[in-house]
Amino acid sequence: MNVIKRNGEIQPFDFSKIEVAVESAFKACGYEKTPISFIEGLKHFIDMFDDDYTFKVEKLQDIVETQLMYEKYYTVAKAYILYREKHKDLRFIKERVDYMDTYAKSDANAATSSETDANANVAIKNVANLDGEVYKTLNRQIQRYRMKKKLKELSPEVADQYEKDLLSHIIYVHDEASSPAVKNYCEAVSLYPLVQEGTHGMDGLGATAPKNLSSFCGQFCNLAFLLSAQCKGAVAFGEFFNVFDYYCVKDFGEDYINKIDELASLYPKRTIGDTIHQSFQQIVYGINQPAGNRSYQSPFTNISYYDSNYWHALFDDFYFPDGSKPSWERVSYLQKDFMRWFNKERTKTLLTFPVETMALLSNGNDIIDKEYKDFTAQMYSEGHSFFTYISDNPNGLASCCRLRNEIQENVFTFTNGLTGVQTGSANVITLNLNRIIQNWAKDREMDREYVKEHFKDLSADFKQYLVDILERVYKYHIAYKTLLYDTEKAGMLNASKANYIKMNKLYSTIGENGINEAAEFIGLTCNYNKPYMEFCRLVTGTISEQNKAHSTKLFQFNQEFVPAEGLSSKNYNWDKEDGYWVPENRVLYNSYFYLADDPETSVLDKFRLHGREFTELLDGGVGLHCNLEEHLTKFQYLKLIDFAIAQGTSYFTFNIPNSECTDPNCHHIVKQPLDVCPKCGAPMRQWTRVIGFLRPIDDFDHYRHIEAKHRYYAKEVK
Amino acid sequence: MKYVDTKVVFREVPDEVTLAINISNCPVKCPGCHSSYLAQDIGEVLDNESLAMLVKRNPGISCVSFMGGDAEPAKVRELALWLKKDYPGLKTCWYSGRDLENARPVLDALDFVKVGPYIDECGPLDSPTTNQRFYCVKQGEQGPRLEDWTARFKKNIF
Repeated sequence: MNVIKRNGEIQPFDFSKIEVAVESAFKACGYEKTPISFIEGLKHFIDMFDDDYTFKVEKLQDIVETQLMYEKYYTVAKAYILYREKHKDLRFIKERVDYMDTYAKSDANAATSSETDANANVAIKNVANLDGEVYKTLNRQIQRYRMKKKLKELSPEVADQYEKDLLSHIIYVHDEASSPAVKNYCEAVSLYPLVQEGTHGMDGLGATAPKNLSSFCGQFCNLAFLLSAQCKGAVAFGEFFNVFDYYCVKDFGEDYINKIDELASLYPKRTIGDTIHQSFQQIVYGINQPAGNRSYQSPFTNISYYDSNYWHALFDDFYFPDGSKPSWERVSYLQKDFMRWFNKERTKTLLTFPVETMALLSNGNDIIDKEYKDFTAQMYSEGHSFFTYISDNPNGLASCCRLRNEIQENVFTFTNGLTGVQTGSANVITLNLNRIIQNWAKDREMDREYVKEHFKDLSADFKQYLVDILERVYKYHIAYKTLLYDTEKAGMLNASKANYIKMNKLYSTIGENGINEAAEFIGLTCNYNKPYMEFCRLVTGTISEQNKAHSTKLFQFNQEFVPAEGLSSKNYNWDKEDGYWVPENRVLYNSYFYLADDPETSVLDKFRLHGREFTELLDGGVGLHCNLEEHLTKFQYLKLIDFAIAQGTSYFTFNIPNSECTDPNCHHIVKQPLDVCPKCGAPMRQWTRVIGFLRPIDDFDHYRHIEAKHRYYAKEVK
Repeated sequence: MKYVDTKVVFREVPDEVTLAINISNCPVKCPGCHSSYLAQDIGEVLDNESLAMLVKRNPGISCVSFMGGDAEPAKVRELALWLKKDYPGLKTCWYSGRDLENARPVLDALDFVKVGPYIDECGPLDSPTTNQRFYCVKQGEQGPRLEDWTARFKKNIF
């Protein structure tokens, strides 16, 4: 007989080990030693198992327990049970201490060292992020227990299925393990409560509303930290420049943009323009600080810029508590000033936050506000890195409310700074489409070759298979959102209590990952071709139509092609280990409709692959990351923006890796990918938007790291 | 005339989104050439029909650049003129490995032209010591006028 130990090791069964444990239980109850009759009875019982039987340790302990009860040694049985429990606790602690030691000693970065839910938004390993890491596995158990309990109440038929679906990796709950408490995923907040009462509603302190620019900057930074501590993902501030303007007016008067060079203070001598830059600096450096309460991640902060049409549609009816209104001329001045300042500041320090999105309104043929179109191209050509969102729904303009709805439908994404107000994502559950399609094939007893040949005729059946999974996912989402409502009712979610967000406006998000690989499984090629487009539309269309059918006032659903920073490599590895087909030339699932490593896909093809034909049924998600080796000219960017409008490519960024000198005395930064510092000759490390936010490539986990190297950056032919 | 492959590029023609068509059978044979495979007579035939197909397959381009084709300058001119007629919005460029005098008969069909062989010691267009020249061709009543845009290839580091 053998014993399989907790670490998986198999050893020959040794009865003397049981004797020792049993003896200590007897001794604890006042016996001198274990009665011989008991030992013999136990031996006899165990001997009844086959010679080649392999016991689990727990099984042996259960046998001892049952035998003690059978022989009526009730007190000893109790002592033995307590002894088992005590060791269980000790084992948990020992295992956690071992993990902490490994985390501390390994050379791998914070993301790679993370057991679960790795995040590149952590620059250095230290005790604070270790604090967060150590309980992640326990957090996950707590979350699953809570969900199961809620599901038993609301949808008992799927209460057991929830964990099965998670363990079989057809679905994934984002940041499930980041916290034991119930929190919403991300949020686009209103800044109105801050203007009205300061951070009071979030921190319970007696502070009143900010009265000037300086106190606004301080409170804004605090607010970013307070809000991000109470959700799992990004916080977007769509009204940032309106409110910044409000406090500039308080300090410098209504026409401050016309007297930017006048002195704002004598000691030190500082103009209004200097003071504004000083305030930008305070806020930007503030929000890039790591937050101790979120495993030492900086609060993931997004802001938006708008062109004039967008802005007027959103904010024409907006009044501050004192009855004043933001002015477009001043807000536009601040937006442009901030963007130029931030671009320049990034040559001193490579700052990740805020993630910026420029929102432009098109009439279907062109951006209506030519000045902002021009400025957008200008800023790209000057090396600034930001996202552009083009809304091509001219009807949206007819009614402010409709536009707002449209924006809200695209808002709740982690990397997206688009902000409706008081909305966000309650929870994100992502489907692993590559596994799902293969499970479907297996379930219908079809091999890959057969599916490749007949998918067209089988697509309706696949759709139904997907709908059946979605039916369960809606129930899971409703359970989680109900938990959120419960938490809100208990007064535990300050962001909604203080009106920064509205819980019923948070969407429950269905994410997609592995769509390229699913397409490849059925024999399609992930470039611009009709069958691939039809497959993508089959998936996104099914989810979109089901979302609409299932949404109610309290439970609204949306779908995103999620960036899946860490999930892409998890899904890839889980599927590979479990014998599913995965592409061998990749280390993770692709995060875009185009393949990031395919040199045959041109820059223009990428725009088409993220154009309306592919993305119009999505509500948000990952933007096209147009990787380039070099910066383009303003006219080239303008041409690409025109192409984006024509294709309906609504969300994109240009990604040219930045380089930072590794010599701390030099620390020179250039907005180009260079290996050697042009100033001092030391090696440079590169920063890129691997996924959404600009971070050093070094900070991403092992798999992303490899993938970044394989990405194809369009460059010139010699 | 045959072409081997195409690529959407940005560096080759300033301010344009260019479809570069790599033409084979190059007679120039510069020592140290980056694309020596183009010296062979390989690839698909490049004519009006295949050119139309390439343009159709690459929506979003603002310019077509013939990379090479020095064996048949007249054919380059013919294709470029045909492009201008059928796609009035598209600009045309020719990357020639020979000198300006050789390219003169083609200039009336072009918006841009690069001339000069690749000489290793002088370096490519973005090198300060390059022998190559890139011109923007302005068509006028007195014939094509050239503006030297070579300086725009200098790498802009910020």
